[in-house]
Amino acid sequence: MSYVEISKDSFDKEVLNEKVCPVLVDFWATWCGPCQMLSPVIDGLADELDGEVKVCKMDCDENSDFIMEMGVMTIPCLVLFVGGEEKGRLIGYNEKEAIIDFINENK
Amino acid sequence: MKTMLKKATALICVLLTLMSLAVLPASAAIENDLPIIYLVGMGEPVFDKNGKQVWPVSGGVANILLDNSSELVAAFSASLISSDWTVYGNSLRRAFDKYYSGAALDKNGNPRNGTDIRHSVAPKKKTSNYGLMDYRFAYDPRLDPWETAVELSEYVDAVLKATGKNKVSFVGRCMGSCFVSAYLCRYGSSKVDTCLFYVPAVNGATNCSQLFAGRVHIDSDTLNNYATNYMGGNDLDDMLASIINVTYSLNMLGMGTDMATQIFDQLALESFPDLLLSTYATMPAFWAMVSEEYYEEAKNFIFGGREAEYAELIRKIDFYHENVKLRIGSNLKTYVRNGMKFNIIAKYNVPMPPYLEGYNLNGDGVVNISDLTFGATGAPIGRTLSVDYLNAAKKSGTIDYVSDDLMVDSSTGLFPNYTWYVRDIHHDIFPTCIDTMMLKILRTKNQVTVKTYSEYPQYVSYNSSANKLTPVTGTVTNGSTSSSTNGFQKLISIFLSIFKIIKNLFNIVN
Repeated sequence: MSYVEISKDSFDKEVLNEKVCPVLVDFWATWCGPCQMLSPVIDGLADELDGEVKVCKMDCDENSDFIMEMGVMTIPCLVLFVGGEEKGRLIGYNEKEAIIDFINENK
Repeated sequence: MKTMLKKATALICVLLTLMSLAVLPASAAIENDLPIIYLVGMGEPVFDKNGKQVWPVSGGVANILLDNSSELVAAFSASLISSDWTVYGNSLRRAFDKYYSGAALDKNGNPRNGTDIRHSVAPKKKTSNYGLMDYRFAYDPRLDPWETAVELSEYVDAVLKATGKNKVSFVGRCMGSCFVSAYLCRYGSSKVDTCLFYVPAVNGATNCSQLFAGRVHIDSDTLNNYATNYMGGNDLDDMLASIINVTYSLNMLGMGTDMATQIFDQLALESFPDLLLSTYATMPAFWAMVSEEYYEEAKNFIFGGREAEYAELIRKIDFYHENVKLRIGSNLKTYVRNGMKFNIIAKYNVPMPPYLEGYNLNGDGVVNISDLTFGATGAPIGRTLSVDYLNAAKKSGTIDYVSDDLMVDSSTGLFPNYTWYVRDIHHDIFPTCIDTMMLKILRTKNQVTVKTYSEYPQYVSYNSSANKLTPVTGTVTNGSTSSSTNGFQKLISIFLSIFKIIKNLFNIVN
């Protein structure tokens, strides 16, 4: 399964109400170079972790009010939710292994 | 009669109201709430694909020399005996390679091994009270500013979208001014309200220009002058400065630096190009800080005989040179004519590093005053402009642009009325009192000149203890005259410094 593209309107349904598995949300933007670097890594993770972790992406430009509410100041920013609760944040570009470690440490 | 009186009173009231309205805009600055995008100097830290920071190198040059001291000392001794300084030069290059090569770009000026900055700063949606750093465009300090301008343009659009405004303002500090200039030359000024350059390196950073051109030099007078006037502030510096002064007064420094000069000259000629090509010289953003004056010389020095191997990198840096560095001055004139506001904050009365040929150039210790300001005239450090120069300025009516300390004439700069000069402050010191000044300029609706705010005249002096800017008065500090203290006093100061260091060590141990 590939990632799920989400917006502020679908955030509750796709992220907070997800009770089956942890959710990894990638906050990104078109103008952000490191986000472009991270994008294929996240796509690969979505396939690799299919069934274990749900992977979502949110475009910061399309949801600028919401990212302010979330306190996302620096991107790319990966936020892990478990049972609707935020468990951790990983800022900046990271290799796949580092992201898997981050998920395992926080889920 | 009563009616006429009433009418006359009403007319006077209307006239007075109109007059007061006419006066109001001139006396009250109108808030400008457009978003400010800050481009800091030297961009963001760079990481390799394993997440290890490869730039800036932690600990700097001192650590590299210390960590490799045994190999370097052996190579130095071998070179001393054989007079073949390539042995020492190669050893130095190996030492630097270990630390710097991780960040070096490839021969085309592109990142290697997945090295990159790792984040960007997201535009925040606000409608007023932006701080100076609310929007920071995060850029890779190694890359071509012209290519990065595409990302900056996308970032500008993202900020405009997030804020609902139609223009942004830029602050470009040091290398940041090269990236702002590339944006302006590539996309024009239609989305830019104000552009403020803070110690800009867009016309070249003197240390970068002269290092790339191999223009390094050491002599005893320069070293002693630097030690006397500019070293100090901590125990170790005090002690080193005292040792240099004493050795100088015993005429030993001349002998030592004569040898150092020979070594330096040979190293510069034989080893600097390779040393730089494994580090800074692969980075287009550093080439962007090589001034027009030294550009061709630096290219010959670094790439001489290897032009084909580095053809793509040379094409990139030439493109920037021709389309940004050589054009930004005239382009700025056009942007200003079209309504963009522009200001520069420069610094002066700090010499360049003592190993550069241009040590005595007036500036902020990194960029000379002419390059900082698109052409202002500065007297050499510690001196004033000549009597002939001042007489000519009086005749031509430009004397009002000369600083009260007679060290700088702003009239020869590109924007004499839009440029400020802060004395006695190094390039790398960023006090909040200058942030306050910048914010005041950026928050003003109309073009600010050096006459707009009485608290910010054209020439101000930085008082570090009070964190204040005060108008420059007619005194020259940090002159080039040698120290008047004698050898005996210097010896005492060495002992005092050693005593202070031991005392501090004792305090740390306890």
